[in-house]
Amino acid sequence: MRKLLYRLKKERRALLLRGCGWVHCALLGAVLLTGITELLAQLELHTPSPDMVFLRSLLFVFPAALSDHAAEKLGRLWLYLPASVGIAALSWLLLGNPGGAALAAVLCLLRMLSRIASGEEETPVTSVFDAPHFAGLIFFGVAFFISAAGGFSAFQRSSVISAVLYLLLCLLYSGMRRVDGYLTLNRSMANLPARRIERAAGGAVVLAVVLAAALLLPAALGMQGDFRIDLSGRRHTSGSYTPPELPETDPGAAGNLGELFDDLYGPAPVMPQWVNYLFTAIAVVCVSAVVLYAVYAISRHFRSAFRDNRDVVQYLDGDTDEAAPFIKQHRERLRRLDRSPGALIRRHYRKQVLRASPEPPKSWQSPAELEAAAGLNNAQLHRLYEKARYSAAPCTPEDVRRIRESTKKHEKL
Amino acid sequence: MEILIFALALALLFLVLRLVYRRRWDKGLTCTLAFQDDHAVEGELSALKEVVVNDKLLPLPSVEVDFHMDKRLHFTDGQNSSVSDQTYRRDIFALSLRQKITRTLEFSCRGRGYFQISGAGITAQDLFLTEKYLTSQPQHTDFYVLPCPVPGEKINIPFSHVMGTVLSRRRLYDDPFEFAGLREYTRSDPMKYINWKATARAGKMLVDLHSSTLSQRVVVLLDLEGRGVQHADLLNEASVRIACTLCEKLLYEGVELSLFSNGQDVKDGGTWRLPSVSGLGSLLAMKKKLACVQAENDLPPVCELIPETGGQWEEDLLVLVSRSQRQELVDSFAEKVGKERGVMIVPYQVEHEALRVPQNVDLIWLEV
Repeated sequence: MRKLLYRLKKERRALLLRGCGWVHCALLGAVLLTGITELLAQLELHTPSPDMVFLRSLLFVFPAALSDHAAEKLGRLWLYLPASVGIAALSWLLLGNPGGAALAAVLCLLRMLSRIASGEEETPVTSVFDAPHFAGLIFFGVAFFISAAGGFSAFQRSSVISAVLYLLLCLLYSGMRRVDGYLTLNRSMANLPARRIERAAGGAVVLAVVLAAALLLPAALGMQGDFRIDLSGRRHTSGSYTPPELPETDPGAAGNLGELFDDLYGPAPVMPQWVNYLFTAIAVVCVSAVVLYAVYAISRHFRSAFRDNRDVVQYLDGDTDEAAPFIKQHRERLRRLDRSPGALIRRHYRKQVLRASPEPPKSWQSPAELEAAAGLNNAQLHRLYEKARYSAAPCTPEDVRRIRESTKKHEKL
Repeated sequence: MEILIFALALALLFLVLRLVYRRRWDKGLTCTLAFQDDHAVEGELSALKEVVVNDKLLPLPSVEVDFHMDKRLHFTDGQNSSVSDQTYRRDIFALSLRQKITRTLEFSCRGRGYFQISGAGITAQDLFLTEKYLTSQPQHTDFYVLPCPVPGEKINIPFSHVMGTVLSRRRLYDDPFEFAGLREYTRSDPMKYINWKATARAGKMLVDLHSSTLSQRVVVLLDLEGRGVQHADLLNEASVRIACTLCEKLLYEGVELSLFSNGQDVKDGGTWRLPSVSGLGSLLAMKKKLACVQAENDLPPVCELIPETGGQWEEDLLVLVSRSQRQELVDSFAEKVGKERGVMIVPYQVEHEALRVPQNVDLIWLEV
């Protein structure tokens, strides 16, 4: 048990990525089986409820995991084949229909072919069943199109829900794979703050997935599956807005002003459901941000500095003297709407330097260094800029005129 | 329809976040490299501090800091660094909001010298590790590795020679106002040195002994011709160590020194020279100066470096430290010494040539 926990801890990222691959198989399989089931139901064959088939098909994640494990561990074909038969049988049992067994058999077969193709290579070849990919969303798009064209409600619902789940899965997988790839690439480095990188980047990925789930899942779960496409050329959506039937009104019978308006202009417009979702999601994000910031502030309050390996990590606090030297002195920046002579001179100078300089100027360069780097040799420009930037004496419109004239004169030369 | 709108909103949010990172990632991000000590002696350990500060409300999950420094400074952990013409180092930090991380890297000083780190490259990535951002920040930190002292039993021979010559010269120029003691009168003593009061008390003729207040200067010439050959580099380093240890001992004895070398000053790129140094307070400055001298090829002969000051230097004691075993160098040194006596110290590794030594030069061979 301890060994298993240790492995789970050590290989958590790799296991998560593999788990994503299993769920990816399950989602694809679930939509496929739901579609077949609903098709059979339309042919008036005795079949279970397509919704139930969809839910049970999600259990295909276990045969997919076993198949992956078998392909990895069972090196010989004579061991792998009976294992595949066992996995197919288990799949039938879990999913409750022979389609599950067929799916598992195909999966095992393709994994075996992929294994044979990889041969003796050290790095195993990744097959399409090992990892979700954004291109997989096309499959759900096709399923949605077929369901809309064929009038399969359950199939449509399952395809939309699966598409959303698959999108979340892809987000999680791609984000975590990037984190894992970065940490694997740099695993030989000493003092690598792997845990902190994983927490920050991995946490951001998880947060993004949660946010996407909060936005997309309610909308997907609320779908009725009644979107239809008429392949004859006309398109309509039965679930969309239908014009309300206006009641026959008698102007004299209007009891109050509201009813009168209703009678005249029809009922008040109803806010679309997606706007409600949007506001809910924004509220969720705001509350999450406040909670996260509160946690951050509290953790800082309790622990202002700690040691991680050979790093001394400190939170900056404006009040502490130690942090003071590291706080960058903000330069006095020009306001956008400032049209004073000093601001005009500084803008003019900046424009000239940027125009003449082959490289972007560095923030630490003095005016003389900037001009030398840019190849500017205009004493008037230099003097007036220094007056505008550093002198206590205010600049005058005459200074602005002089700097412009000086620049024109130098340009002519 | 709603799902598509939300998916687009998510994509937009991601793009906005990326844009924010692209524009603001380096705001408040500073990296400072600083040697923990000002100097160390060859073979000692010291440390370099890397301080990375992220003073903004955007976390940076991965910040890579890379820099290079001379390979004579060797990181003791031996990790995250590769050594070729220089030591190249890359470290990774993870910075949260408004955070400062200090990492201390221990290194050993494998060779004498003056070392600077003038810049550090920074590579950061955004929150999802999708984009890399690069910049560099200038650094201003330097470090001296002082010459390692030569063991006492080795340096005592040249030191005794030099001090003996200095003291014997002092005897020639004693100061009548500097009373050193009494001794019995001999027939060669001048009458003006007879201490009459002491004679009356003792009942026998006694004369005053005087010490010298003459501050005799020792001019040390350091020959650093030749670079790139292992044997020459080793002996040149030995020359610097010998000169440093000798000068240290002479400063302890209160002798004023002048040091000249035909080597290059790595700090300013010019010819290395230290015209005057005296007192123990100047010891560290002298060692730091010696840390900056560098051997080169095709250097001018070291004897030409002695400044022509109207024969004033002829009152000083000339000491030449050179690995060269050429007769021409000995002869030209003897010529510069003139009527006085000079000391030439030649470090060697296995065996040395038999040189014809002029009478006015004391030649000391030192095996290193």
